[in-house]
Amino acid sequence: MNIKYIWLLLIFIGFIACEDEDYTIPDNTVELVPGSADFSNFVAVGNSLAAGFTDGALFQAGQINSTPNILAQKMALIGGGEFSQPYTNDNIGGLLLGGTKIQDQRLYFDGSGPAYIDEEPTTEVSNVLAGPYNNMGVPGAKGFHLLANGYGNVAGVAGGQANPYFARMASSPNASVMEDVMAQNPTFFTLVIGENDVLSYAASGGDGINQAGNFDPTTYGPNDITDPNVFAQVFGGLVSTLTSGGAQGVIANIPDVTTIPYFTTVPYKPLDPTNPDFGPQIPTLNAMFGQLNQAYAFLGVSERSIVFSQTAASAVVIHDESLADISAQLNQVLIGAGLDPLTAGLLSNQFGQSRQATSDDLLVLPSMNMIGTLNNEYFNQLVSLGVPQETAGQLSINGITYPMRDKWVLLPSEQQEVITAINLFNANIKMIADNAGLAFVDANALMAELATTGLSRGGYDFTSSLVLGGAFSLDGVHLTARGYAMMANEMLEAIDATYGSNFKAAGELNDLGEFPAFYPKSF
Amino acid sequence: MKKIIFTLLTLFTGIILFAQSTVSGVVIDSNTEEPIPGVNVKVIGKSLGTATDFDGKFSFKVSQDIPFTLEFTYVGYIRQTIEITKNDEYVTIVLDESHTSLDEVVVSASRTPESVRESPVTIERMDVRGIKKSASASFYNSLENLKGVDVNTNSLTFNSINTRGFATFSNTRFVQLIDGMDNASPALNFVLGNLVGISELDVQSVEIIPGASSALYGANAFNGILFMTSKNPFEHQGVSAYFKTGLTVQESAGDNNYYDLGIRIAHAFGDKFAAKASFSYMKGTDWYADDTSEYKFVGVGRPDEILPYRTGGYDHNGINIYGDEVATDINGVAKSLEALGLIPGGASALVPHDVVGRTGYLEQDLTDYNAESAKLDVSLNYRPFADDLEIIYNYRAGFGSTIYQGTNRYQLKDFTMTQNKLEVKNNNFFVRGYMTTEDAGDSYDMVFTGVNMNMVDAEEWFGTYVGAYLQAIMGGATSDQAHQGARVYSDATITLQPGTPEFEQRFKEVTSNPDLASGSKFVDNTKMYVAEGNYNFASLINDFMDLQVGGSFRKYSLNSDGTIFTDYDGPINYKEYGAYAQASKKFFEEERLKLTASIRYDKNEFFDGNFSPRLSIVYSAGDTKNHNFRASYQTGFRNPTTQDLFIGLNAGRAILVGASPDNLDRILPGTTLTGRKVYNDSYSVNSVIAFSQSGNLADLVPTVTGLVTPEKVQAFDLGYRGFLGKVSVDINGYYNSYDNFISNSVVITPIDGTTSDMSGVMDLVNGNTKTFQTYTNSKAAIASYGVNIGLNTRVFEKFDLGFIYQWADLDFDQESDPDFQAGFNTPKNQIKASIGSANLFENFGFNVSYRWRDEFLREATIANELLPATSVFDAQVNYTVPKIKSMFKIGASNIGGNEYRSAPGSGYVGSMYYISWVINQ
Repeated sequence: MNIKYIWLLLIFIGFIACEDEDYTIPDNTVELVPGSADFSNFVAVGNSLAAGFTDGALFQAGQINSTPNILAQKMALIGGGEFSQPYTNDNIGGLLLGGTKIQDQRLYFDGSGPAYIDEEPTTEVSNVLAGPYNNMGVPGAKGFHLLANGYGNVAGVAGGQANPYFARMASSPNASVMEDVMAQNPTFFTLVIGENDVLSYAASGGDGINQAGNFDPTTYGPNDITDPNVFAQVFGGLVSTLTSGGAQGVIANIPDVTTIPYFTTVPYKPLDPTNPDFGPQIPTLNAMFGQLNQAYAFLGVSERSIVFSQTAASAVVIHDESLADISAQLNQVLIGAGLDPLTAGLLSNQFGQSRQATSDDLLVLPSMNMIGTLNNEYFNQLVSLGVPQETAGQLSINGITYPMRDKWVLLPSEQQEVITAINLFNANIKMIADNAGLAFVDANALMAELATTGLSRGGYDFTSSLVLGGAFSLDGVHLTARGYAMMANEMLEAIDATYGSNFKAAGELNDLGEFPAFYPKSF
Repeated sequence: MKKIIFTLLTLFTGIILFAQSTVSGVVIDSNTEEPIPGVNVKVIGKSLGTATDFDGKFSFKVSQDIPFTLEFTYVGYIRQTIEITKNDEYVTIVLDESHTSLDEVVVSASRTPESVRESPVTIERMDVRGIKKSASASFYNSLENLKGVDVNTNSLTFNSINTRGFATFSNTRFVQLIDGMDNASPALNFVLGNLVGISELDVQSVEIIPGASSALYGANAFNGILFMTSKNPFEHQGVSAYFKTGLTVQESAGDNNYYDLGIRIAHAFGDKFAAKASFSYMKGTDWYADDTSEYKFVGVGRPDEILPYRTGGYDHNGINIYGDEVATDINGVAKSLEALGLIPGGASALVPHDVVGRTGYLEQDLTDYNAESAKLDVSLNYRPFADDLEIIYNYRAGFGSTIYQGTNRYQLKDFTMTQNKLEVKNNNFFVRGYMTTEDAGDSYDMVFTGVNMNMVDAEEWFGTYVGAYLQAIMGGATSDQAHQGARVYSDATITLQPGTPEFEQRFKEVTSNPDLASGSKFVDNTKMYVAEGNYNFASLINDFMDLQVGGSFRKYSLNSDGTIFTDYDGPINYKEYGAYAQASKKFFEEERLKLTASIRYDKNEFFDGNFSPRLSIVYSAGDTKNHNFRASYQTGFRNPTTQDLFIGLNAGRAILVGASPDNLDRILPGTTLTGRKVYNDSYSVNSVIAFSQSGNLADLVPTVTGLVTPEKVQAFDLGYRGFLGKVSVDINGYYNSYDNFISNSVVITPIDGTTSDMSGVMDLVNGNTKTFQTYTNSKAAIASYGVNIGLNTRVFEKFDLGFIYQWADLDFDQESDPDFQAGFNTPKNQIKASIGSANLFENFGFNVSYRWRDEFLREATIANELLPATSVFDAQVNYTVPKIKSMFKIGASNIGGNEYRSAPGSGYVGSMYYISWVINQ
């Protein structure tokens, strides 16, 4: 080839050498970083909400989907270690003590409502596991319980001095929860405690005592409200102990328990005139209560009148301990009206402190299956007093002729006690968390949103409804797996905010759809 | 002037009678001593002529006094002349093979015959010889082997030719002319490949001018122009035929038979009248497009993120799955079911705000993939004076079924386009008028077919889905499990399954309904009328220079019955006209320098007039003019298409509204609004998005959209064509600078309010708006440049080697128009190579060609993908049996089945294996 055409070749080679543009898609994913958080030894401290209690029981699947375990899976991505939990035997739930059932198996949704699965518990409390565990959530624990030595003593379970869930994992019969926690030298913790300090009172329909002013928790009964100062002192102690080794953590406050489905599911007007077992009885009932209502009117308390509508649902009849007991006056009036003394005595005794429920009264979830049924205890009592069986039966129908006792109803006055206590507790929790520089989740605010407008998280519009709301499990108190995962996301965001990690920005919040809202009957 | 009139008079009135004599003979190759078929035989100074038959023989009557001179020309051979001195003489002509392609004659570059060396611009050509040696399954496909030519495969029956980048399947920037007739579909404004085209038996020559050439050819000669010339029945007589059959092999479609046959009959009834008819028919199974991935837009100028089938959510929108676009937030469905009492109150809390798309139909469920193409060409040619004056009536029809990919994928089914032409011409002038009509037949949009089939029972489907979802959730399923179960259940109970009578019924209903809100049919009976003429004054001015003038007139009559255009109250008519002049003069000794200057003026009814100049210079160096250098400046422009001007189509996500001044006052489909309101009183879509996120009124930008105007290109070309030793070299480089690229802009228009006060904002807040796609021009600064190198040589006396290297690149500043998608769609590097021999040994030839293209970014509204580098081999062996005037060929394209596709969404091109028998070509 002629030399003067060499330029052709040069051009050619130049073209071939041209670099191609780089069309690789820029990596938009953000690398997950822990910030200042040290997840190397994470211990969860708290109550049933930490343990993964759901559908009225603690069982394996629920434990796997516990908030702390969900958190630990994410922490494991950036320095977190193994996370151990005191797993129960199976997915039945419930506990045995010496072979006797002391905690019921779990609930499932049978198509109309919660029902117990038809399998019996196998997890034996006395079969103590070798702890300690990263998940130190103890169902039923109140704040001061965590500091109590002997709270994990199997021998004390039957008598109520010890907690069966802690008993099965305590390092020694005399160990306290906090001792077992601190023995693990946690670098990071979650602390979810205090709900039981009011919930047990509320759940029992205010059957316990408000111990405000009593600074000695050893004198408290199981259903009492803890004194706010005691709570504050205990809580502060827990936090200072947990952070004594420099550990970081997340604290959640206490939701307003009066808005959980345990109290909001059973309507105050459940008596349906179209119910064939109830509707036909209404004229008879109204005739009977007509005499009573006249007596009420005579005594100037016509607001206690009992009337059942034949066209709309009617409120149940409740025993209200906050009302003045007018049995004696009522007895006189009824006798004066010509009733025989036995009947007058029965009625005045039965309706001396009663009224129909209003929308301000909260009926607890277990009352659902009790309303309209025969109260055997009272029936037997009447029969033993010589009341004819038929009359005794008519006067022993729960919520209709037999006013529902205190434990079934959280009266407005009791609600106020609960709310007051929660507000005082929460004020302290927030202050203590802030002082300790810990991450904080305002569970109370979340609950308020859930109960009013609904809570939109992770693509779901959660509500506080039982069964369909998505957040609360079938026991009406504890969360579903999806609810616990949502709680875990709230905690991850709180950790991001406090410690500079980036779980949210890195797309590492949990996909709530992966966590079931229901556990099937068997699996 | 007097002289012109005088000449014209003689042309039309002079009837001079000559004695008739018959000349006959045979033409043979000096080397092989074999007869050469197809050699052009012509009486010098007359248009009279013929071509040799398969046996190299010719015979024709001449009404010319002896002596006269016959000229024998054939591509690849040195021209020969012989003086005929006796009546009824029989001559034997021996042609020497030429080793230079520089003498090949081209017409289109200057609208007058000239040798390739003199061509002022880059030009590529192919003729019968090229067709014979091609290994491609059709001659049209084989154009891809030419330098600078890219083929985009839409379908087995629809290949789209392009040059100089900016490829789309709807190539509105490229013109195709057959015997001078524009082949573009009047409604679509682009050429449907060779679907409506020419049979390979009837191809005389194919020429391609890459780059802009509006100076001679007017609007749309922007990226390039393809000329196909058919065989004149006076010169190419007799019966010829071909039959091809074979297999198309594709991974998705499997092995399918196809066949392709054609026949051409031409006869001259004396020296005044001749006629021809040519028919060809091809039928096969199209390339299946079964890409189920979703192409997720991530940004202009970037490849889409490719999501494999049903990954990343429940509203997967597979590119070749239709109907899955029907999607909704199932939480919303749950809430309406709650309101209707169909699910328990409150249950929507268990149903996430997941957007779920219906299960769509695979493309193969919505098309039979029947690829079919029938072409009929009839012409009656009359030479009243038995000289070069010829009157031609030509009827050309194409009928077929194919798949076209634009914004969506379209099934063109039983599509018909016909052209009728009347032309008068001689060596100095032509005047012709033709009309193009089209009927979209049963064509339909496959995406809308799927969408509207699924819209019919969408409520039932989503209701069933949510019910099943809830049931699964309450049974303990995770959301993902519940989604899967719900889909299976609702598909089984609601979705019509392909193959069932219910499916067929609904498919028929939707594809026969032209309302895109519920159907998918195209109605189109658009027509185009063209008249044009050209006069070459060279002979009148004693060949002092070449001087031509010409003009053209074009009228569109849009007729879609309101389904595509806003022609609901009758056809819309509009006109374009143009005029041009070209002067060309040769200078210096041996006429080594040739200067050509052209200018054309075009006026569209709606736009300012446009001048397109062209200047070129050619210099021939070397003893035998073996080194030819050329430089040119050319311009091109493209008028907005009929759709850009008059569309009024509710495409679902937006209503498309054309920008012609006449269109602005028409009420748009499904609205009470006019285009004027849309163009003058809307918000830009980006500003509405920003506003919806920020709530800040300052983010809202009222927009006046500029009405679309023609886009323009200026092209600078440098070229060399010649011989370096025994190697023929053709090299050219170009630089194109673009202006006013036609583009789309999406706006949101308040229905009752106006953007000039708060009433527009209230409309936005209340959702009282409509979304429109407008047609405008981009301010983007774009240039492209490239170099093409072609080398050809012969080794060992028998083997022809060809090598082509193409390099092309784009210079585009995205920031000059951030939303504008340039769509260069051309590989930076391409290599094409071939080796073959026409006569390896007696009657036996072969050819192998190879094409390699670099990876490149393919951009289109449907999807953007970085297409990988591909290598394609085609090969053929042929055997000629002179006794039966036949050539048999066994060939294959894309041997090895290294499947590739021209764009995401279209079918992968597999292999074709065929055997053909061609008689008397």
